[in-house]
Amino acid sequence: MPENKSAIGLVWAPKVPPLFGVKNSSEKMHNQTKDPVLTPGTELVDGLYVPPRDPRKLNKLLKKNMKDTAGSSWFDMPALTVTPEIKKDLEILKLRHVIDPKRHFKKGDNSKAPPKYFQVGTVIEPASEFFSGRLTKKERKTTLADELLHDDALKAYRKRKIQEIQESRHPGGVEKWKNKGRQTWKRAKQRRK
Amino acid sequence: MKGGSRVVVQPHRHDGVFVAKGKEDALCTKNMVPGEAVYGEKRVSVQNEDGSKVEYRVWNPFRSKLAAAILGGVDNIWIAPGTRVLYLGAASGTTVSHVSDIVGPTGVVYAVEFSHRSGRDLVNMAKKRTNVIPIIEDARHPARYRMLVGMVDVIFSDVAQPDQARILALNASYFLKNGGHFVISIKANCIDSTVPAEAVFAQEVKKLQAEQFKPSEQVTLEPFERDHACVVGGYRMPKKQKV
Repeated sequence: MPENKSAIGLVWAPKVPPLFGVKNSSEKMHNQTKDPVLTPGTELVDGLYVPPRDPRKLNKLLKKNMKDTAGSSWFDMPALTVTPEIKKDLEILKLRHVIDPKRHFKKGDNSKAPPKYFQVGTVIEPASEFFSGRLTKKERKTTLADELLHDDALKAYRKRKIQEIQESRHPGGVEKWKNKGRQTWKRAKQRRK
Repeated sequence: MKGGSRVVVQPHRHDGVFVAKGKEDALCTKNMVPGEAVYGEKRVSVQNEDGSKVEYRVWNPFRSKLAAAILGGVDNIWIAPGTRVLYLGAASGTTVSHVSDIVGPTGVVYAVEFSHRSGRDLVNMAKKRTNVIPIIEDARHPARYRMLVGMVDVIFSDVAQPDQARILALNASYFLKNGGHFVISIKANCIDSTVPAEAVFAQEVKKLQAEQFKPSEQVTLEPFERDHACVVGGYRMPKKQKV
């Protein structure tokens, strides 16, 4: 116990705050030096919130609390929180050129990152297109992905395309000539005759 | 895009313009009067996370030369939120309504139209849009409506007259600020139907250059309109300082 010895005064030692047990002493010192007026922003004074005095900190806090928008040039379009459904919609929007063979799109941006500022909405048709340009109640879906997956014409195309890919990926050879384990070895030989 | 389908609305490269992406793409502007279509166009209704509702109107490039110019890839239309626009040749106000959407509540659109018949639709549209000032007057005589129009940042001209360069210059001398911009749509057939369209465009650009205009770019509105061009540029541009 070197601290005890120095306290007695028989051995001289420089008055340095002890290395161990820092917690207690430093807390005490902090309490002593603290100005009652200049409190850090997170603390409450008499149970009330007091904003920080430092303008830099105040600006930082204000910026943090401000909503993220696309700016006044686009009428403060907000940044949407991306839920799994919305993420799927954005992905399918990026891959829409493979969904329909009859439709062609401009390339658009090449960035892999999803767009930051966007909104998801529903089209409202004018009265003149009530019979021609309107989805029935059954055809309406809550997400873009659902809508594309439920289109019958696209379904047939998708099915055909997947089958084609599966066939092309399938290994070659005749299925019935293949050996499936030892037991079929003999029979396979017979089959080949 | 059928009614009821879901779309994602994103900001376009141009200020105040949006793109709705779904099975197909569509140009949009934010509706100043939610719940109301001006000429039977489709709308996109959006519910924000905080419960507020926003609406966009689909902008058809086959009906509007400005939309056609945007899709044609014009570099800058100079019409943005907060700008003051003088619109010559407003017709029944279909494009004017979209321009009024773009400039928003802080901007102004002065819409000049000579015909009383289409002017009636224009006035009815302007009743609901506070930033549109309809003027039923001949654009050849800007002195007649000089008391109504203030200094403007941009002049859009779609008058389709043989002397449209002169009309534009006359209005610019009255209302356009120095260093302001103009957007003019030129229909080759209306000026001279005997020479090829490119020659007419070049001739019109020459005329504009003689009137203190500085055309900076020209786009054709080809898939949407035949033999049309859109010319964009500045007016009385300040000389560049030599460093």
